[in-house]
Amino acid sequence: MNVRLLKCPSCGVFQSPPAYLCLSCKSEGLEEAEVHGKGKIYTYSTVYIPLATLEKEAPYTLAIVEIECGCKITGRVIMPSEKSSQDKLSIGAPVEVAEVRDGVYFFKLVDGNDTDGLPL
Amino acid sequence: MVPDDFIGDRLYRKKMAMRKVSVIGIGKTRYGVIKNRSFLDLAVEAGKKALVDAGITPQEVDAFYLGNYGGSDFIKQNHLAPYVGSALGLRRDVPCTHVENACASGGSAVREGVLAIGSGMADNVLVIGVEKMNTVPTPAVTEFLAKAGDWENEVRVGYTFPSAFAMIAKRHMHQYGTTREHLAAVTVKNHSNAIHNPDAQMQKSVTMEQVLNDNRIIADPLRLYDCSLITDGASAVVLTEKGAARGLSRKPVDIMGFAQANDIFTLYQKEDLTKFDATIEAARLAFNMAGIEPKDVDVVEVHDCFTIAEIIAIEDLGFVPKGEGGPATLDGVTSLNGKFAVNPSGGLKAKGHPVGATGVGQVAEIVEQLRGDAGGRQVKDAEIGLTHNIGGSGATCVVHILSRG
Repeated sequence: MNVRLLKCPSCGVFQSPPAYLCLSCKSEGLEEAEVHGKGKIYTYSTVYIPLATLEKEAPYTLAIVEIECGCKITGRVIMPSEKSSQDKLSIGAPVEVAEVRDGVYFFKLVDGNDTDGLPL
Repeated sequence: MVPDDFIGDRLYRKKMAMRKVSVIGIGKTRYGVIKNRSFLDLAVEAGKKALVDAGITPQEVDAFYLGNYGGSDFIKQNHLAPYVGSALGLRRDVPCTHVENACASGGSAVREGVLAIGSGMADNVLVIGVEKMNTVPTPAVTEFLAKAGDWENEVRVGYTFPSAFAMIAKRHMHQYGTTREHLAAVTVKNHSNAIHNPDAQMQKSVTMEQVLNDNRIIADPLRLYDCSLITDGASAVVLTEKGAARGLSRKPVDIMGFAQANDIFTLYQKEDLTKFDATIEAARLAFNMAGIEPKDVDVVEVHDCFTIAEIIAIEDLGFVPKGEGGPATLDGVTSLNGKFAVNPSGGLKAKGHPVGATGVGQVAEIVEQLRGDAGGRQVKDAEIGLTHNIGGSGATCVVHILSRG
């Protein structure tokens, strides 16, 4: 599914909220843009000691994902129950946004070659 | 980006216009789980000790800065600087100011004190850093600390501080081949140093095997031994104009350079998670002001809130090339008798991390080292020392460079 980003009208760089000016060229007047939430894991961590409010959901996996437009977004990874699929979790693994719950992105692992495309 | 010479030039001119500053007194409480003493007890103890060490009375203090992060959560108290200042009996004309910059609150408070003297508004400044954290259970501590991150965009997703640094560690491992053994070397070294620090929270050694075999994962790849401690404690320093510090009974320690810088606040917006731009910038400015290079530094206190943070700090500060922080630590380059000693106090890992006190305590440790008073953890012939204090996931960094007066 799509994610909502901000696009710099001057240099065209996409960035994730929050932003009030372009972090790249400092131009103002960022425009809202929607792009496909597909990309690769930039980094991740499975959290065993969570915040008190998320105790019931632990362990859960956080990830920062570099989506295809070059912008990084963050969210949680929906972990498959089978061990063989869990092993696919790694830097560079292809993922896409599967759902948004209370404004939080949830990624799912997808099939694909994790060595092409982005320089991760 | 900032032009390379612009800020440097401007600061250099300011330095020439500013009065120079010395540290003439330090005071510390023990760091640890201190159940039977209040926030105020700890702050007053450290402050009084520093004034006695400096040989001045509370009435001679012209300005007071308090570094504290979480008083409004941990002890349900705000308006903290006059709360402590009045307990110390400071004069009525003394401005008492609270400085909060997450884990860099203490370092930022010291910097404000330096500026107050530099500007000529004060002759003697007292800076106290204090935190009392063991008032609530660990999940609440985790939540209070998480407020130093981006609540709306990160904490709501499930970020804790260990998990933010875990993602940083994972990236560092991926880009530079840093290993769990490298991380463990930081723990082993800092625990080994803390044995010689009577004020440290963890005065016990751990072996490489113990650390590597410990399975208590906090946020993968960080385990319990990668994390700093939940600590109560206070530290204080007394600052004065450099010229006036001569002739006092205690040997003064001079502030050669200082700087504070910032970085993008929200972690995932950073281009590269394996470095902290605030550290790189603060280090550049402080070294520029001091007129020295990293190779001139003998002793360093860095912000090892997690083991990976120490590895990145020594890289960002320019002590080792990028990516070599882990191997250098494992090789003993940063041990007490290494090329440059890092965290002789035991660091946040073993001395403890009373958040708002940490940056002040780092300066106090370097002063002890440069005076030659550090006992079993003394770095031989230490003449120049550096402190590095970061806030949040690196959005603030404060660096001080000190030398024997």
